[in-house]
Amino acid sequence: MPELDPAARRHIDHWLQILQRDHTDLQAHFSGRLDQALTLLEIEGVDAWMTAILDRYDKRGLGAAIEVIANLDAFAEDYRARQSGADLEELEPFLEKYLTGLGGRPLRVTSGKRIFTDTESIYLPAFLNVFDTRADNETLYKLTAVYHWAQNRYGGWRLDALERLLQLPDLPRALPVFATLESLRLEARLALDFPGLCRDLRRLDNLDEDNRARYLAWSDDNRLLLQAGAGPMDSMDRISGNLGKPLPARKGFHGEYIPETVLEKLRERVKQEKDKLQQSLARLGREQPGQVIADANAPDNTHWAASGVDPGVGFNSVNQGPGALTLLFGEQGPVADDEVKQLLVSIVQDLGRLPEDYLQVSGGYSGFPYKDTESGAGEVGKAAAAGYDLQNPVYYPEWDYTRQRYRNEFCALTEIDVAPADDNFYAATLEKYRFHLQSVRRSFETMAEGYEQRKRQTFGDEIDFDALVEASVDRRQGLEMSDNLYSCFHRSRRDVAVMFMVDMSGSTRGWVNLVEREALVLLCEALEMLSDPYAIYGFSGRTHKRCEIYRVKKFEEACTAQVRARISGIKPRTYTRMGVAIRHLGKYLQALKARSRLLITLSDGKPEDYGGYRGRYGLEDTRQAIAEVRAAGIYPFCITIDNEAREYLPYMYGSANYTVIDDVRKLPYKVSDIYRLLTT
Amino acid sequence: MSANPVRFEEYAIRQEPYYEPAGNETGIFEAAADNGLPVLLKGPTGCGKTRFMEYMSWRLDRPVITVSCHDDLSASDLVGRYLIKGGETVWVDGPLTRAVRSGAICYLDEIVEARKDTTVVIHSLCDDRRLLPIEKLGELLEAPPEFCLTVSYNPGYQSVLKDLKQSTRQRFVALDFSYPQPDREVEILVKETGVSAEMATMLVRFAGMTRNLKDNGLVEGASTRLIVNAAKLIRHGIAPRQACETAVNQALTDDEEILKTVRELCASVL
Repeated sequence: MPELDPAARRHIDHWLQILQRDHTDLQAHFSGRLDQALTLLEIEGVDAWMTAILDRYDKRGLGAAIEVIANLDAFAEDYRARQSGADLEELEPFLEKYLTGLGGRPLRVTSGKRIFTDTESIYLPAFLNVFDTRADNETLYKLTAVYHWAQNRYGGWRLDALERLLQLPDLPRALPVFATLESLRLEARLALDFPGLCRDLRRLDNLDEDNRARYLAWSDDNRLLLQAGAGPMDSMDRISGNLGKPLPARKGFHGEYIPETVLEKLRERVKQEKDKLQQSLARLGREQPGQVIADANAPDNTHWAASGVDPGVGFNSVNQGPGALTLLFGEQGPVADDEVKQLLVSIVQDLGRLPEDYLQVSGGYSGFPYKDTESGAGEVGKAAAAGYDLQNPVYYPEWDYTRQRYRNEFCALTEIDVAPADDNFYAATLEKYRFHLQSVRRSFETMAEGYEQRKRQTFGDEIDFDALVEASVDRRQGLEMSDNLYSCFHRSRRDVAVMFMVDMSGSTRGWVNLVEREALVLLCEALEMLSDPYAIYGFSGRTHKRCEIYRVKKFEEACTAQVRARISGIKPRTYTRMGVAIRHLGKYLQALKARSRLLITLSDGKPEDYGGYRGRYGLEDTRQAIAEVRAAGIYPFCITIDNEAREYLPYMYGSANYTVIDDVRKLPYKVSDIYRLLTT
Repeated sequence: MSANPVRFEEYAIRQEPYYEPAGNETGIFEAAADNGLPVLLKGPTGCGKTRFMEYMSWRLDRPVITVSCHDDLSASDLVGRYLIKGGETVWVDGPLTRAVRSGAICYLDEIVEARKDTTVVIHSLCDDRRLLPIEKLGELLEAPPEFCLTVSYNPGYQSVLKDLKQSTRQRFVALDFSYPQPDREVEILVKETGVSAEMATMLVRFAGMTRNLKDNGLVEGASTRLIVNAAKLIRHGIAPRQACETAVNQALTDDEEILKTVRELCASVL
């Protein structure tokens, strides 16, 4: 056995004892390969090997564990690769945030067998071990992501260029030439906008001298592409002139061009975004001062214009993100709307310009023609007749934006207790998050222990000089002196009540349901520290005839074993009809006397239900319901895990009244923090 | 009893502060001031609201009394209180009363930080009455035409306890401030700090990237004030990345994961 320091020796002995206890054969096999293992791996590596052996033994028995011991060489090779390699799963959140920081249309980063972008996602290998160090491999991930971001941002996938590319007679020959020309253009552009990044691009290009020389030759022959104003059409124009020249190797971060996949995505998006933009402009137009709400057949009464868009290459500077685009309405000057600006950015990335007809909007434009004209109360009657289990339903109105009026008594809502589940989920979650819970408790304790100074008290720690001076003035004027002359510190009363409205729609099945329940467990523990009155209700349903609210904890209920079992019993149900749930739960909050009343929704997506409750209709009704509860002095807030929520939540909740959690697994960690932030 | 009118020399802005108008905000402010309308400046931190006030004070040739609002700010802190001086009770005006008596501009910075019962004292000053009742003196002070009340707040705060009540906000002419457009922000940096236009461009680009992360890890992106600070450090000889690390990155967040992203964004341009 190689020489080991006493600490390492003790460590190995400890492992041997564990193996001996589990199975003597296992210990014998392990001891037989230990010398070799210590030669091939450092002590940490042997540790990992040992863990892998035990893991396999626990799951698949002795034979499988011995197999791991026998395959020591393969394990050592894989272990070394993992030590120096980089794992995409660990880097994904960073890469997505980093690309968001760079600007442009938000792009998802995900693993795939081929490295490419379809203009909505960037596909990267799950694991990279090209360079000797982990740092360099992580940088390679970053560069690959940035290079594919640049393809999107600098017009590489513009619709006109893409269509022209796909019409070329000899695409298999032309595509690599186009890719090489584009690499010259994009790298020159990156060097201009990101000098810091450029150093890494040169350092980690993974090229030999011959290929470097080839790139230089291609650059010399195509100097125009290196200029800031060059666009994808310039690369296109040069394809024929460069056909037949020896191609340099692709650099490590280049990836592939798969134009057919992009075209499919792009055409679909172009259509959707035009529709979306016009709906948003119609809405904004109606909200401008002096505009009346138009009916669906009203003539064009909006006059939109946009500035800050360079038709040549989309954006004339990388810094021209949504903030640099200005949307103008008639003579009223710029209109601020983040959703529209983000849409404009995406449209200009796809088309290279903003076509004029995109801004010609009919005043009453509606992307979702309204069909259902039946009256609400009648529907409910039909629902009952159809045999739905409506136990004493309560009827609520629903906002129909196409008619600009409520449909009275349209939604039949039933309240049901969540069936408790006796599966130890609550205790297991407390155990799982015990370390996090300690810090949550600490931070919530500090919130609970706020003190405030109360003046004009009959007893107190200090003299209240304001009161004393006033009393002296009174005395001199011959009036009776007040005896409230002291000030003292009192524990401050928070006076906050909160209602948690939990999305129990079918889409929460799996991970989302699990983390929602975990988040509720941690919240209950935290809120018990504060004594803020809180209630938890779930919501789901199917059509307006069967809207369901699931009771988990009422305001007046303590966090009993029954409540804990109900949290555990929260299960995904059917659809998401949000407006009626907000109206119903808002009523409970209104009945409370707390000074600050919050309605916090935990959600995973847009409002959506059968019977036309989707798209704009669902958004408008939810928005209206939120406006109603807000008018009643309730503060609505939404915590969502839907990555696309930034497109619609500002419209429903307002720009500062929601939070998007990009990684569903972080929900339990974040919810308590969000609550603390909201109420301090 | 004695009141304490503003000593103009104390609060007057003698030198023209550097300010780049973004639109017609100076004209609107002047019109509001001429008509006795109070003004609400909305915008993220460090985007130039306070500088705008200094500039308008200079432009209108009126002193500006600034009150930085906080949790413990009471109505007496604004209006005034009795103090004992040599056995006598002496009334001392608060900053709001001093501004009203002297026809100055009173600027309540970050008004949402003040308690709601404190902000109520400005209500009667903000409508057509333009009156400040001083209960302790039994006095009803009428604001002269020169008096102008301005408040600022940051609508990005996500706290239910820090929201401006409708009864307060619906008394103001609201001016929406945002970060300046990139070209103008570069100009501001160059004029304010003396850094090269090239360095200013890089800093503005970096700030723009951090602003893309708003609500995506950061509560707010880097303000103009932060990059001005970074530019000043750079001008003083600090290496650009180090200057950004201390003046921008660390000021933006304590979250290690986000800090890593912000650092990488910084490194990509500098």
